[in-house]
Amino acid sequence: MKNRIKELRARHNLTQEELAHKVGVRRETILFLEKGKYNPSLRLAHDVAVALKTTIEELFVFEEG
Amino acid sequence: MKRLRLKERKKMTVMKISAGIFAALVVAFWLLILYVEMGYGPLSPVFFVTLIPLIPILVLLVFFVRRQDRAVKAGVPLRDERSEKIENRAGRYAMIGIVWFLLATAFYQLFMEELGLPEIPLRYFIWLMFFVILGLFAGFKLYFGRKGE
Repeated sequence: MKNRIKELRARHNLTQEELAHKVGVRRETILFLEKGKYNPSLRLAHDVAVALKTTIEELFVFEEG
Repeated sequence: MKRLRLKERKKMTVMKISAGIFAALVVAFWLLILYVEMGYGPLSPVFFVTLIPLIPILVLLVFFVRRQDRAVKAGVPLRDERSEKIENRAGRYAMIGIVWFLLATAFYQLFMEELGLPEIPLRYFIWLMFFVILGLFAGFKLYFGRKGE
């Protein structure tokens, strides 16, 4: 699943470490989220969206099929 | 956030105590086997091969606990949803691996005479199984940790 975490994180001048602190996960989780190699739980997706001042729909690109 | 950190520090203390107990149990288990082996007569040099995995286990344990301790002090959670998923998956795969190991052991015992293979005492297999479980779990955890999910 594609996402805009990296782009929005850069816009907010946040490092992966800082974003990880904000949402209460390890830095590696943010790294794999950005790479699209980890599908987060709804809770984490919500927390990341809140931390980046956006919505889940804006943050994650859901592809049909 | 401060409360969360305190919770993590408490968890870290529990982890340190658990790691200490685990290390003591591993050493005690090895000493027990040594004691039992000595009861069978002079020790075979093959027995000391069991020391080869024992030392890395203890070194890795210290390394792991120290790394986690540093992470907690830096404010990183001990476990998050991804690491929990990875641990669960690694545990499942390690269990499947141990079933295959037991099957291989059974075949070895069945065909060792026909194939002219040396007889390995059952207690060695049990000792080996302990390391296989630990090794498989650690290996799968590392693999899934690098893979992503």
